[in-house]
Amino acid sequence: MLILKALALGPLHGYGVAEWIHQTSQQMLKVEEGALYPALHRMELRGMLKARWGASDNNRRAKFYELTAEGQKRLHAEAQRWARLSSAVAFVMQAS
Amino acid sequence: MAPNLHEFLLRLKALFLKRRMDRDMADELAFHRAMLRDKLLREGVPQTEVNAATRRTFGDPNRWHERLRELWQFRSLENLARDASFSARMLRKSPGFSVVAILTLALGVGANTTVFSIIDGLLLRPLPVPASDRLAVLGIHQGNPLPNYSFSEPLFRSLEHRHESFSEVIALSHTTLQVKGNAGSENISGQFVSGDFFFALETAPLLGRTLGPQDDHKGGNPAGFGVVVSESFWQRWFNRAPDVIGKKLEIDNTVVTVVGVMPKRFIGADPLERPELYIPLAAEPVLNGERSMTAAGIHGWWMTVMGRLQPQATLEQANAEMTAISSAVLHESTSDTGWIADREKRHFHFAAESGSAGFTCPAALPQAAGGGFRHVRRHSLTGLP
Repeated sequence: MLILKALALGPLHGYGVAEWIHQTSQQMLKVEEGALYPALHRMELRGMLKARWGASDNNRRAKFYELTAEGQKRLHAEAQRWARLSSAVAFVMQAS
Repeated sequence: MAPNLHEFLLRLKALFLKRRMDRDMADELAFHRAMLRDKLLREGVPQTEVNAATRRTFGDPNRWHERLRELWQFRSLENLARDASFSARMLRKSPGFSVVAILTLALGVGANTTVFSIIDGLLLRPLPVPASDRLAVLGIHQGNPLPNYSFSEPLFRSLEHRHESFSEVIALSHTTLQVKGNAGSENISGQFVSGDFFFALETAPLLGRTLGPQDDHKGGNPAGFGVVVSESFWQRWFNRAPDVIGKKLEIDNTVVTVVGVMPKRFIGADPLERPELYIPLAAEPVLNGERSMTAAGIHGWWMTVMGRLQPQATLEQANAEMTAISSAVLHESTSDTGWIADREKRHFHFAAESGSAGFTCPAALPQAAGGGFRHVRRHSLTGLP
């Protein structure tokens, strides 16, 4: 879900995704490389992401991922599910 | 696009562009490492430690690469291909073992194929005669789980003229005949056949005539016993001479006359025997002399009996009739009342079963477990087994 969210703002390469999540979460979350790439590739296989090769900011060849319509839908569904889950957890934790 | 199809197509692409995909994955990971390295440098990690630090953060790139590769594979398919190539390598390494293994397999497959072809040709195919599905094989039931397929001469002679469901009831018995040639005698596969044998099998001769009821008399017809030969015998013995009809053959010291030649496709009624000479049943006591099975009368069990159903008759009708006439046949065959009483106590009766494949038909195959094909228990001189 976090990866999908990172890509919702526009195409990014793997490193960009990891950095974005790291920064945006105020260094709270760190995506392991060992988990990131299998996840990206799996989502590519499932048709949620589209990949193409392009030049990075510093002119290196990099693989950019972007959301497909399928990925958008999935992000939407996941976000809703997460909202429900987190609010439920919060609810439970606030109970006295 | 359905997600599964999409995935399948991508995997397929990965399979064919394997090298490129592999390079791309490596590039992707290398790019990430390079970016990480730049970042660490920016954060003030000293030049000397940056490589170690990158490795610490990133982990083992080869491992990640392997993980990605697996993701894109058709797992089982590619493992199979790898196994195959591994086996091929191992086989090449030890050629002696390989040759033995391959030869063993080849022989095994070959032997099985051969045996099946033989069984198929001999036992499963219908006899090459017209309307072979109208043929039936007769058996004797007398309290045993399996019927007995051997008949004695008096039983057959009685049956031969006592039927209505069958147009003909015939008997055959395989034998080996000694035929005198220019250079000594030769053993030839032959068959004693009853008078209606060729009528029941409805096959016309290639030359001359077939044997008929007039040949199946004591002493044969006025000219002595006639014999019908197969096409292959005609070729081998007479070199296909067109004037073979009327030629004499000396068989078991008895002179007989060639009356006809059967075409090659005709194999008789028993696909396992394929005789070259057909000789009347009535000639048996003459040819076999002291060893005559005919002379053993009711106690000589040596012939196979078959019938051709009348055009309108069914096998069930034939069976009913066979059961009905069993007692009469029994009484006509012998005057030994004690023997008859013993048979009747065991519910002696005849039965007909389908015989389209000739004497050894598929119906007999399941019985193989019980002691062989219908070929067992022929030529026994004791009472019914």
